[in-house]
Amino acid sequence: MKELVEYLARQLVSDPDAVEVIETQGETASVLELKVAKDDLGRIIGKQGRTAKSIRTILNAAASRTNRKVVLEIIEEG
Amino acid sequence: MEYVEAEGRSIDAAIDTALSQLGVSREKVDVEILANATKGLFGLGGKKARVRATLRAPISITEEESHPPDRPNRPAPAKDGKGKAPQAAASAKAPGRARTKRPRDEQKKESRPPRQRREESDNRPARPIDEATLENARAVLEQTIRLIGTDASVQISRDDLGIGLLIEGDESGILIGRRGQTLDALEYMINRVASRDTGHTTRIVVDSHSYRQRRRESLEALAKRMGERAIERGKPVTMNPMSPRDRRIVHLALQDETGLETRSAGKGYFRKLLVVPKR
Repeated sequence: MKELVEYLARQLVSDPDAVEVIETQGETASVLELKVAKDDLGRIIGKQGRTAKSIRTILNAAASRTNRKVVLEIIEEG
Repeated sequence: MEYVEAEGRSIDAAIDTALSQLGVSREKVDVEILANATKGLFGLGGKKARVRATLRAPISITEEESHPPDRPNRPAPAKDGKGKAPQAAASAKAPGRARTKRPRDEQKKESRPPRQRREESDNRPARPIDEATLENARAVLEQTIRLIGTDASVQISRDDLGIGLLIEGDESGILIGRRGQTLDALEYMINRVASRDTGHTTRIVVDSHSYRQRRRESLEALAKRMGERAIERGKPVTMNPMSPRDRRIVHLALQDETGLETRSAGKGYFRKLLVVPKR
């Protein structure tokens, strides 16, 4: 799951080295926190959040094979 | 900014007066409606329409840009500055009260041309994609599918309809998703990647086990049923919100149907399609 988000994010950004995903496992759900370079935030979110929505849809497809829910958070680096 | 105020029996007459006072053509001014004409009783007490025409800055704003975004039920007026443009601009600038007085059939006329144009532009041939970009897109899709946890291979297909990536494998169900949403998401991602590589918008279709074809057929059948129901009831039938691509299939499926017309209403995810019987 983590690899999937990392892979998709790296395809989209201009600074692939800055892509970082932190996975936190809960009881029934996992939270994936995606961090990218500040300039790449727009590329990850996309127009009207379309890119972010697509990543989440693909992630949910992957999660449907397991019994866990997956939440994707896109983190803005401060 | 230079402006004049003028009166007339109707808004159009007032606009004409204002234009001749300024000595410019309609495209050069923004029109603000101050008061709509009222008939009065027995020809007495009627008020004239008042408009204020302001000379535009040299770079003229298109009607679409000056169009307030808060009215989802009406498409933007025609963009070319001819024909109905005076009407369109006038109603776009009109205060709420005056706008609601516009006859309905006029709004319909304005809404037709932009929709047809959009459909034509959708049919234009996609720009070519070089082999390296396409191979990269194929590899990205295959790797994405592998990371989702399914085993499938991806083939490139090129035909007169366009460029496609076909997913082959036993577990295509989860890659298609509910109403094809996963397939659409994958397709969107792939086109983002390919657009970045080529520097222009690409239109690669991602499909699996002829899902797109099957979806089209079932939507066309649904469209026909909705059309029959609309005629039977003599009332518009509303269809559930669907993706632009699905909506387009329905529009096209019913466009040659006499006695029926299709319209879209609402915004974004909630944009619905109406099948309306003509009288």
